[in-house]
Amino acid sequence: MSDYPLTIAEAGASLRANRLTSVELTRETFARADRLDAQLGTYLYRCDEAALAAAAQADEDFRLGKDRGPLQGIPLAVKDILSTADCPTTAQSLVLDPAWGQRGDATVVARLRQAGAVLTGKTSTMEFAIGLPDPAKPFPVPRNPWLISAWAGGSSSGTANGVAAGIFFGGIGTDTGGSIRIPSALCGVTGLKPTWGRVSKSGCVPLASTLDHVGPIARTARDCALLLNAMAGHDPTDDCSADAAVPDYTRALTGSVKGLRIGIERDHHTRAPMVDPSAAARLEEAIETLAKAGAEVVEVSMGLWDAVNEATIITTFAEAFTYHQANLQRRWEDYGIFTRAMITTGAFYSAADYVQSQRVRRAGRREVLDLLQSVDVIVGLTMGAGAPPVEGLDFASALMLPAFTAVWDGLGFPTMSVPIGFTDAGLPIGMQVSAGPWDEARVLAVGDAYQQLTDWHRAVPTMAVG
Amino acid sequence: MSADVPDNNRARELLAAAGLSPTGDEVAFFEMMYPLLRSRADTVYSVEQDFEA
Repeated sequence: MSDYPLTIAEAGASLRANRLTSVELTRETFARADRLDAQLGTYLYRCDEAALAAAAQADEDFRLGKDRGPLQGIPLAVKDILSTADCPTTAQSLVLDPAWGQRGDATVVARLRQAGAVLTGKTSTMEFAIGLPDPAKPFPVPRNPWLISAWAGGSSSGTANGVAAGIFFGGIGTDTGGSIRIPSALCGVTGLKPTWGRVSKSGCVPLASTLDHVGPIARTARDCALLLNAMAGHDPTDDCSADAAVPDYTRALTGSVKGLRIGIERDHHTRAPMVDPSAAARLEEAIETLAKAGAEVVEVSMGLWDAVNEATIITTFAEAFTYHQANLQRRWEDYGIFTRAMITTGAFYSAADYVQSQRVRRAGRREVLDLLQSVDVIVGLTMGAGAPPVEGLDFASALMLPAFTAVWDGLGFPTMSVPIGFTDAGLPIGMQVSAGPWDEARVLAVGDAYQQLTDWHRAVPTMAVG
Repeated sequence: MSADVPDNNRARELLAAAGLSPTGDEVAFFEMMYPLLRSRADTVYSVEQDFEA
């Protein structure tokens, strides 16, 4: 298809202008998956029949003048950590009870269907949204469309590499320590972790219940806004779901950053160990772009960064261990080698460690809320380097990766990764934009304004061209 | 303040207390990782505030 759209917004415009149908669009996405998925490891399961039926329904609705909104007829994918009525749910694990996924659609999946989306299948992750690619288990190893020997990042690996390769236009990810933003940055797409409680987790296999977030991955901030409009909102079936007003996020996308106060955090990002100088340079260039467009840039420092980062790690492993201990005792070998290693470290922390970690998270929230009195958003790198090679990835090496995401999970504040160019080695780099609780609109507005000034988000990997 | 004292043998004790049975290589890995993880965990105790005030 020579006029294949890149974004949800473009695809929606094409559908409404009768330039193509949802069935044609969906068939094309499956043709792309047929061509690329064996290399990329994007899908765990495809739902061709159900997706084409949903696409035909979307086309029929258009014909009858029934328009459910910007997602109608758009092919999207779901990380296989969320239950779906028409596809198995495995959490990419041999351990998860198959009955877990038989509960029907997760709330957020149901909301996308209600919005008319065409759900094409379940995407690869890391086992239980933790661990690392494990070739010894019968699941795909997600790779990076920009360099096939490199990792896609995780754990929302397949959702991010599929968007980058045009296998679908967007999808759902989850983020406990960076699992939306890391693969988004490494694959050169846009991913938003909303405020904790903004999007329902009902039907999502838990990793760490006080840190788990569900959010969108797409090519642009505008597409993420369109997805969040459908996904967000109170869900009484999720105890963690907040009953907070949900705005129309597209209304914030003015394209302007004039007068916006941006705090750039260098101390724990570009000045951190292991950061690729070319990644640091891309961040400075992005900041310069925003400054030239009228933003006021000041340097800020988050003094509790290291403590909140460690508190988030302790919380993740302690909560994950609590969830998995019984299965680890019974089915040790069924877990992937990296998954069981990571989760088991939760046994090494004490009750005092856990309680102190929650105190530190609260202290961190107070510190950042104080900072946000003087700036509107805080920016930094998502990752300090491009995607690492798949070969040689293990628990110890993963701990050394310069990832700057977990702190924002610990705080629970909204944050988004936006592509800002490439390292000297040609691998995508992302900028993290973060704001105060419930202020996703501001994060999206900054991302959208930056994307109106640049075209990094429109870059397509060579393997996916045509 | 530290909640625990780094000790390689402690890893083996905690694995047993948790009812886990890693392979020999994995036990060696956990013994290696335990002091590192404990050292990193001490970072959360560097925040000296009166949290209960």
